[in-house]
Amino acid sequence: MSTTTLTAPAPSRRTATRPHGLVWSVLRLHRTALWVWLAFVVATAGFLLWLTGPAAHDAQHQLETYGYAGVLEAASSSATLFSFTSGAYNDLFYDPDNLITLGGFAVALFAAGPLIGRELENGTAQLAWTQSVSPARWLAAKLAVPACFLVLGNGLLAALYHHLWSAHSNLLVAGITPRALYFSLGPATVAAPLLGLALGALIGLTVRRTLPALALSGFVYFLVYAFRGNHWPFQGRYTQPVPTSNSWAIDTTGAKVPDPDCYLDRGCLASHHIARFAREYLPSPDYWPRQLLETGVLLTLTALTITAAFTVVRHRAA
Amino acid sequence: MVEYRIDRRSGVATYVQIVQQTKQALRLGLLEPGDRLPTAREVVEATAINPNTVLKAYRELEREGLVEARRGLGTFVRRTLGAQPADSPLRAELESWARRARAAGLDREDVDALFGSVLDQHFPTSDELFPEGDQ
Amino acid sequence: MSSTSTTPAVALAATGLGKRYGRRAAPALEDCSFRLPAGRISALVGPNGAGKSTLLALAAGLLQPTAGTLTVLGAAPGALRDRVAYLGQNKPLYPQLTIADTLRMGAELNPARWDAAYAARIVEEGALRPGQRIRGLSGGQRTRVALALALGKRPDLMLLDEPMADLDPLARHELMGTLMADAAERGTTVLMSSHIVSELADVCDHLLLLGGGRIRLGGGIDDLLAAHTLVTGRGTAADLAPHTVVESRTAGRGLTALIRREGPVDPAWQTEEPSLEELLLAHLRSPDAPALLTPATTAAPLEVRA
Repeated sequence: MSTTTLTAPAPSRRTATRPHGLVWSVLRLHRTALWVWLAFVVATAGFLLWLTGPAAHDAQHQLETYGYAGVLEAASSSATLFSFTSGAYNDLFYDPDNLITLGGFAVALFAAGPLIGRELENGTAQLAWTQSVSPARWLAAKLAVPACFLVLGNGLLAALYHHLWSAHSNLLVAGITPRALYFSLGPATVAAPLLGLALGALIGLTVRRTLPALALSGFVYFLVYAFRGNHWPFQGRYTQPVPTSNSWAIDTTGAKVPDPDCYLDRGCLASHHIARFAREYLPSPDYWPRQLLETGVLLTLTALTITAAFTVVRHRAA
Repeated sequence: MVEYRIDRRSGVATYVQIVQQTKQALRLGLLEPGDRLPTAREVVEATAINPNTVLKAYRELEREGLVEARRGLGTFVRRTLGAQPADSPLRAELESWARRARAAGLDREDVDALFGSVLDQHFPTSDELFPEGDQ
Repeated sequence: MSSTSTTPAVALAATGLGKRYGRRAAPALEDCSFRLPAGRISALVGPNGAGKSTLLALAAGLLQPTAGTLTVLGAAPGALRDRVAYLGQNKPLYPQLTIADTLRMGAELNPARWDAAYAARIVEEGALRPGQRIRGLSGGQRTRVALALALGKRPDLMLLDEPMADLDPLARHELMGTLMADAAERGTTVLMSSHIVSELADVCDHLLLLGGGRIRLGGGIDDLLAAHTLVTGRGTAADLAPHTVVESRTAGRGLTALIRREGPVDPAWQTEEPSLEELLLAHLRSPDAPALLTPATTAAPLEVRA
């Protein structure tokens, strides 16, 4: 029998820098999803940095010239009002939040489908379980590797978003939406997709078929999303207190004076000797209690879901 | 080195085929004392048969004193199987017997059957080699 | 053929093993008790739905039994995953990976035992390039890669579910040869399911026949064949007592029957040793025939631990 040589895969050399074992296999199997995630994080981070820097220039100028009237003017100047695709700064400000929310849905769907459900449907999970890898270790790696990327990516985005809020929340039109955004930025922004990951995995393990798992996972994560938005101790949209806004004018002597209600009338502003305007959102005292409580609840639910997932996998396979 | 061919349709047990082919190689001088038989691994890799079948055949050859297993080295030919030379007295006797049988009106199949039954009577060990007993 | 010192004498031992998918479903396996001695190459035979795949999946630690116990290489199923290889019926592989990546995965997931050169050689004998994606391979080519993955971990026990079903005759011969060489060299125990009896006769030395979720026959093929006789002659099935008649058919004025001998057969009957195929078919056609397990394959009555 002829034996020619094929460049055999190098024997695995354990180094601290190179991923090996299950971590390698999870990274390799979900390489595409990983690149998509990295692209999403980079694009969203770039978007946030742009909003923090150059994009704020015009809106900032309107605020300083006309006060809150200028903010309203800047927000309504765009051709498409209050929509996802609006070019107005006030609307662009909320787009990263929508993207991060969609990202959470995508994570839940990914976990239910390609990560877990499809593997069980195709039998490739069983292939992994009949290497020297127990189903529990397999599931642990399947959850831990994406969770690391989620925490790092969403942590970066939440930090940048919080920075954007600190710098430019004064350019937002007052109402419910700034408040909702304010309460959704923080550790809970990082914790929610983790719950999505856990829920998707549990659903994938239970349903074991890709398409039904995708549908169910999307629905369940929508319930989580809706519940978070509307119920205390989450963001609880319609309960007090709210972060209050405070605006004032500064006259040519540098003294703080009330807004003379000139709106966009430059003559009126000149007659009142108004040099510029300033405005800020005052932090709400219940931001941290709410954020920590929400994060705690989300992480607890995540832990329970993961425990359930491990129970399912242990019950199914020996 | 001898390479075995396994005929799955022949009806002859696989280990018997190995025994027969080894003996054939000995008769033809293809294997001589001191030659090594292929290892069980080599045989099964080429023929896709069960390793125990090869070992069974080699045990049979060893029992007949044709080969010997040397621990860790392999299985080696001990002695050869000499065919009876063409001019031996035994052959002359058989030839005269065959002429008489033909003169007595026996056809080929009759002689075959007769010869076979005498063979069975005098060489009973071959029964173990042919458990189907269809000769 | 020598088995390694760490291999216990029994590769698989089942006692009252049962598996039911769902409470109302008929059991896929029921009250199976048997032992598979280590170092044997055993054929797991039975009609569709007999429970072959279920038994293999239980042994691979992919399913939990609903009744009874099963030990694999002396431990619980799934406890020794590094020493047991399993090839599923559908030969699942990751379609997005290349062959090289698939083998790399074998190395990464079996760090203690992986034989990279051996696995690469099995793939290469099929004229496959390492850069080819699994997605683009034919069924037979996928089987080859899946077998390379199973053999590459150098297991002590191989569980193969219909391993050769979609291979061409050449590849089948070659891969069976590779498998047998591995068994000859390392004393690997092999349990492979199939319903192509002719394929098994040369390869296997041991047999487990499953029918209706139960073990019908178990033991060395030679021993099982020797325990049965094909008889032809004048008479009725009742005349064959005390032998167990597995199956009988009329032949002219008499009958032909496959019997399990109890003592010598009356010389009035013409006797013949059955072929493996005849033995299997007779048992499959007669579901009521009592089961037969040879002593080495019968489950130990009590779990004796050394």
